[in-house]
Amino acid sequence: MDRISNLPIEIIREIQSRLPRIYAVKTSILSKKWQRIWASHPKILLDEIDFGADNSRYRAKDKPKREAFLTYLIKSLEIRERHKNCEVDELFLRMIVDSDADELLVSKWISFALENSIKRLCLSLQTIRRDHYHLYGVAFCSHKLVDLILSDCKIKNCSFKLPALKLLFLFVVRIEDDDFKDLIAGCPLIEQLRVQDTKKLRTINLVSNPNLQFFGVHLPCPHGGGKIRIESPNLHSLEFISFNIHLCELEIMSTTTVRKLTLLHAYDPETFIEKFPLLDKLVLDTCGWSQKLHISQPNLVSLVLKDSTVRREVRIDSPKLKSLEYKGGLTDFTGIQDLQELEFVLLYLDLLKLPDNWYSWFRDILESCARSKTLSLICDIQEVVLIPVKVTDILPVNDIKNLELEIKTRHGTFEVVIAELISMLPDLKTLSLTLGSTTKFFKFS
Amino acid sequence: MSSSTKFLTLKTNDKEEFVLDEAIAIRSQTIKNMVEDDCVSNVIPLPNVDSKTMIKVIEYWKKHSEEGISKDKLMDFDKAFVKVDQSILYALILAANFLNDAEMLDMICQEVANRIKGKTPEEIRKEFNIENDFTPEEEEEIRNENVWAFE
Repeated sequence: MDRISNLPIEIIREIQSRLPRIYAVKTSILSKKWQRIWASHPKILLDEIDFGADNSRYRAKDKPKREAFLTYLIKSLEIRERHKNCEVDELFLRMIVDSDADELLVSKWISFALENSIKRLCLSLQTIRRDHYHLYGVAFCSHKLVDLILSDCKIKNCSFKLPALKLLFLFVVRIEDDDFKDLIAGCPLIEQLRVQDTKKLRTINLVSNPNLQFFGVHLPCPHGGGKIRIESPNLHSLEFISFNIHLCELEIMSTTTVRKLTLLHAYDPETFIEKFPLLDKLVLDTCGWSQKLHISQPNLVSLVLKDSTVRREVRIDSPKLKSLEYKGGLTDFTGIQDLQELEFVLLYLDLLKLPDNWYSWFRDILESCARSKTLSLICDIQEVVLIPVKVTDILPVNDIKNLELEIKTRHGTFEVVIAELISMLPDLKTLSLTLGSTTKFFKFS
Repeated sequence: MSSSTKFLTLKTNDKEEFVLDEAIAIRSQTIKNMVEDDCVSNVIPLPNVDSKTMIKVIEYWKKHSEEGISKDKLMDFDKAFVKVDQSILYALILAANFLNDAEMLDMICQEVANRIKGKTPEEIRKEFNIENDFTPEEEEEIRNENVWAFE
């Protein structure tokens, strides 16, 4: 009985996607049912890495692999163009473009995708020696395209008419101010925009995109001169990477609609945060500042502090705070014990990186979080030792009733960890303990 | 100290019932959604799975939920688990698909792919009982069309 051919076509595609591409093509000869399955996937994934070519650099010895990939591009496009009945949802194309013929092929694939009402288009194109691939004069016109992700390209004199576009991400794209202006004007209903590591771009003007909700940016302008202006009544979430507020001009008309702010590698985050009075969620990742950090957002519900250097003290005066995540050194926290709404605390403890006196710091934090409904700890350690051997007098921390604990190790047993926890936290009522990938729930009476 | 364990009863299409720890059963996204939406009565019917297949699925789930089991041991288990007759393998694929267990489905699809890999079309047809419904001329035409892949 031929069971494999009777599997749902989605599963046959799943199986084919786990085969080297050439073997998937070879299945075309098995029977009429199999003839075109290999070139009928609605998600078209064209990645030269799948053919063994190294995408990060151009090497002469990869030439045969690249040629096999190009043949695959030509043949699968031929079949798809001949049998227009198969639906296409998504095109992902990643390759190093090496010749004029390659360039023609790339533009054929882009046209095919846009003509066939594709919803998502991802292009990652380079030319030899990691230079940017030139998307010159390409017409990006589609009433169906929802997501457009471009990386490593250079965009010049392209036209954009993408009325349905909601998401636009540009990574390491070389684009000048005028071209960027055309691009943005061509997608008026955009909701999410991420511009990362662009070259040449200095001015980002988002004044006629009223649906813009998310804007994330890494605009390298080390000598200043950058300018960002956003006017969207729906602006909700912002993300800034390596941003220096003193070097780049930032004008946001609706700072009071912004609820979520993420700063990664930001300089002087406190000045930044002050601009947004009504934040719900604040994430500070790898931000450096000197001595103190004072968080006083009145509506803040969730705060994440990761790998940021606060030498002395973090003071939290946000009475509505429900969730706190912390990863970093032994910084003093003040104000936590006054947070009436605090429900969830997550601490990442990298015990190998922390100095020897971590336990008393840890104990203080536990004590000030005692009223929180759930306390989660994630420990990245090899051995399951919660109480360091050096600490002989364990001062128990009272009032902690519920604890969720994850320890990233496969060694150690539940019994040992529970015995330690009970001596540390005598009031514990419920415990969810994860060791490695196994989670167990416990109740204590 | 009492470990609080909740049990679910799963009923296969041949009317067999399996009582299983909820924490294990929710490896199935389908069952997990039912539990989370609170639409679980006493018995969860599994209309697309028979008892013979369910026994294998539960064997897999239990092994993968074992406390402190090493990665090597799991790999050995998985290797032995997929060394089964074709009919069982397809029943498992369909069960994993219905139960929406991505990890298990991935593993079995990979096994089927491995059984295809490295074989000539004739060998694949033989292995999977696929009937060649092409005329010799049609077959030659496809071979010519994709000659680059058959070289």
